[in-house]
Amino acid sequence: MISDYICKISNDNYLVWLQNSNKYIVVDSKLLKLINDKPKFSENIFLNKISQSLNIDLSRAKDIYIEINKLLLEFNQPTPVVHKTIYQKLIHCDIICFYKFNNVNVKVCFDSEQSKRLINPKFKHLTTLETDNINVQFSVFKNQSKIFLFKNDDIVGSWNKGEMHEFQGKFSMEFLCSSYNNSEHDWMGVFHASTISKNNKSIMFTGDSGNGKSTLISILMANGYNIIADDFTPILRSDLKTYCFPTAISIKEKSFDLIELLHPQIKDLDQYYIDDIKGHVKYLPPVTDKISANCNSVVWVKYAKDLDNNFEKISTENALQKFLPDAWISNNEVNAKAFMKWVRQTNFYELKYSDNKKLISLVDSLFLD
Amino acid sequence: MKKDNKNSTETTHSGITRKDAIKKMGKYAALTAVGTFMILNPKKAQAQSTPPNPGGW
Repeated sequence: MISDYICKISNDNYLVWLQNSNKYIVVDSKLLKLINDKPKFSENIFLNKISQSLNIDLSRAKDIYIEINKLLLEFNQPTPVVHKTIYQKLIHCDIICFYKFNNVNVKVCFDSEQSKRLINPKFKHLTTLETDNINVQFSVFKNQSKIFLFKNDDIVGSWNKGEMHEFQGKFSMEFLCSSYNNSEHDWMGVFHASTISKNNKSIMFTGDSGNGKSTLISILMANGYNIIADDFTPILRSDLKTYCFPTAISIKEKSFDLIELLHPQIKDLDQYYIDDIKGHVKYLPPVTDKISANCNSVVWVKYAKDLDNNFEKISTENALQKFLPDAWISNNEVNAKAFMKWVRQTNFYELKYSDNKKLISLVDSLFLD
Repeated sequence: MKKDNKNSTETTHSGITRKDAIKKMGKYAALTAVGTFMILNPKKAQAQSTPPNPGGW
């Protein structure tokens, strides 16, 4: 067997976790059997088996044979180290922010306004006047062209200029674990998704960057939904629920006018320059209510002005192909198992939209199901 | 799934051999061509969308 972690996701397709490389494959029963059988046979016998099983000639069987070999090699390659952290002493940082979430007081010290700008805009609305009884302290500073993150007195990591999305991801992960008093591998995974909730149920919206996830949840927030998370949706292994990660919703310049009609307070918010493609953003504080909610629906979103509204269920394999490359799934066995369980109990949809009113009634109907 | 038994040297409509076509299609083109096969590679670290440009880097 190539893996002990296999689950059926449709009539003939299986999701397989490859532990050494922390990769997943989706494969049909015939190919799965061939991959599993490969070590049992000599090349010639195996070529014939491939040829018979797939009803193809020996020349094509040889191509399959070569690729199965390649695949087995790839499976056994351990996950490469994400990045190396260089040695660094904690340095004094005297720009200080205090945040509070879920009754946890967090102190973050920055060495400069530049470093503060990497974190504070999304967390500013969590600012507290409580400066005593600090539960956790982070330090963020730049040295030797790298940004460093410390948690209390311990280094968490260092990142280059081009790795700011990973630095921010790590800071968010540490903030999340501090907020819920747990550790990274208590979380099954974190999805690049924006999530809303109502009545103990949540729906996760995934999609490529720029396809309107944040705008969509801002519209839904103005229509009575609570925000679980924008851009960074964690699922806890023990109950497979989404948990609130309360950073502000990032609204891009092209949506300022629309969102201002629904959330007039956005007019007075500061705007921040991201890059030439994304332009400026404003950070809209979320309305949060529930700390966690069940999540059995994931919607892949695509917004375009001239698109016809279309909403349909999509296959699990299609959905996985779309959202898994952007997700972080903890590489522990228990978490891979939990992920497979969650995948099996989840419905996946695709939504193309341009009409906001129709969108709201559609989401309302999903919550009634 | 539609199967064919064409020889690997047979040319396609675009005038290239099946072998060349497979090469062009990527690392696991032959597996992909005969059934359901996809490799999914989740992120190795948590990430978020790009934060505001701090300037001065």
